[in-house]
Amino acid sequence: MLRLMKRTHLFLIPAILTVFALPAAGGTQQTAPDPRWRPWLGCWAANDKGSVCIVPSASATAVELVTLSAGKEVYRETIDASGAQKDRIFEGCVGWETGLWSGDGRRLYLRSEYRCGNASVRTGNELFAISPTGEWIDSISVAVNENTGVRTTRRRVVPRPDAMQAEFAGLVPQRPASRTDTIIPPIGFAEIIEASRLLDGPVVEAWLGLVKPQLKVDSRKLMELSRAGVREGVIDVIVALAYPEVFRIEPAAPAPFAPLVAAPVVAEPAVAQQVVIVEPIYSESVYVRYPGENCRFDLNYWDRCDGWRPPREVVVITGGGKPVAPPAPHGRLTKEEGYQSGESANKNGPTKASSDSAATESKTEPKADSRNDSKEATPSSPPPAAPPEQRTAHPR
Amino acid sequence: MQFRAGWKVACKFLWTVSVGAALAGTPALAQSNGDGFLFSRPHGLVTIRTGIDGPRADSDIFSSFTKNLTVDRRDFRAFNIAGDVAFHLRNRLQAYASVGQSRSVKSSEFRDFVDNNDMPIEQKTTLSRVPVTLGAKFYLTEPGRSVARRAWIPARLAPYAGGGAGMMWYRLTQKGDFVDFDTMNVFPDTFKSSGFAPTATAFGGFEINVHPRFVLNFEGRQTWAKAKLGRDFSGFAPIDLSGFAITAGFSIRY
Repeated sequence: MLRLMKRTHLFLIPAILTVFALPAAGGTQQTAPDPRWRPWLGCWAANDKGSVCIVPSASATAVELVTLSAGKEVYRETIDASGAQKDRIFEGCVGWETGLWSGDGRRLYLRSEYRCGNASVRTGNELFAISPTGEWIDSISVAVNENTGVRTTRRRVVPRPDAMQAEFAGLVPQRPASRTDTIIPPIGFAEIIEASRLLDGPVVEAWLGLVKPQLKVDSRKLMELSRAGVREGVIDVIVALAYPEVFRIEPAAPAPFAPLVAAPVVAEPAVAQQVVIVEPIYSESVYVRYPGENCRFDLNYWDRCDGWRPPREVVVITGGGKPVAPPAPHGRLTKEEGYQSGESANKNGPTKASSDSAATESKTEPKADSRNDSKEATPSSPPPAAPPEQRTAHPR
Repeated sequence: MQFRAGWKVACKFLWTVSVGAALAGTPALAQSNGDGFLFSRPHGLVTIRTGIDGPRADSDIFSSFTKNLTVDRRDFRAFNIAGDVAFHLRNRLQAYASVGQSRSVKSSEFRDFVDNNDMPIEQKTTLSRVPVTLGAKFYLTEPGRSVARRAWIPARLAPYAGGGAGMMWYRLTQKGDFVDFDTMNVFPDTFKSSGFAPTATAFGGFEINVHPRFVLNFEGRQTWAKAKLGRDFSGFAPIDLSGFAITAGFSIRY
């Protein structure tokens, strides 16, 4: 939230920013960052609209997150993982933010809270993690009073733009695309409990759903998780991960550079001021980490919110993990018309699929036609097997 | 066929019960009771009953069956088995929980149609009912009497009546070959419907004491229930699951 506010300041008072902020970034003496930042140092992108670079800062516990559009820096903010809670005041809103490493140093938990004059409370939870495939998983939830929005972004390493080369010079080598070495040891229940204690459930769910740790759960373990305060949605994801033959988890975010799926067409975007976190600062959203004003956390509009969505159920029952076969042709008994085969029921009622009738039609070919077909076959080749004779009824 | 098989099972069960009751007078069992009495008033009874369950089959779905198929309403009679647990509330009053099960299977063919080989068009209709009820049972006479503080003497005959309510699960299945009345084609299929319905029950019977611990039980029980049918049976009124069962059983006082 603080970072957001900082951005807003920058755009509200561009002259001050130009004079003050940029020299601060360029002129600061860089310090070797905390080794836990190493997997993140580099440039990342979720799509071809823009990229984000994480570069060392003047503080060993902090890095600078530089947003680029068309290879040019458009915004810079500092992320401090010292664990200290830093108070902030912005436009009458009193708040704080904190960044805390996980116990194993593999994840970063970011939290913030602001209380504004109109009594609204805005809280943010964010998780930085590296997936087994080397993606940067950035899952964030923002709650404004009773409204909550969640967004998860997957980024992969991209070449550093020329403009950023100086920031990395002599400090760290370009990281390889695969960073599976950074996720050892694997995620276990202790890590999940830790994350659940510090972050909102949907953030943890998104992380688990993308990292897909291999977990074995039993009733005792589930009770332990429940007693440890792990939220129900997270436990659902854990169960789903343990039983992939029964459940499927919808990914919280598309893979980096995946083709965009057309969003459903809905009504005009609605503005809900009570959930506006900050005014949009980019005409083209390259890295807006908070919802813009033309966005509300509503099921019908989340697709217009640059990836923001309301918390949702991500665990899907797949019916045993087996592909669902189309229903077999199936008839019914009606009071008015008596017994009907699947074909007739499909014609007379709306409940049957069209494929059903096709299957039935092939089965109900007239007997005479079948015989004629077999007679026309040449003697040199064996006649094709005749379709089964259609059984018909007649009065006794 | 199903009904006869069930009746044979019921007869064997009753024979076993009778033998068990005869053996109840053995010294080992006698240690838990005196000669013809218990050392204290029993808390209640656990009963197993078997018999005949005749559904009323009075809804239009059954009319459709009997009209088209060689099925009669009496064909839905079935072997019934039920279990009750009762405990004394007051002198003659008991509360009970009961679960039963009956299942009829009837093979049939279309009454008015045969196939193009003049063979019958056959199918099988199965109706299962499982009532689960809670209720009260009232003895019309004292089921026993306490003598001093250490003896409870059961009555030789104890008539009773009662009633209860609960839920009934049912499943109706038709499997086999059927005639599509639109095309006159014969097609194989399975039609199913199942679900729960509220149920009420009233019963009356009597118990014959054969041992301080063991009782023979004879009972008639009327059950009322109606349930909605599934999509496989379209346009019909709720299926009538009511029926009357006559059972004989065996109870243990505890």
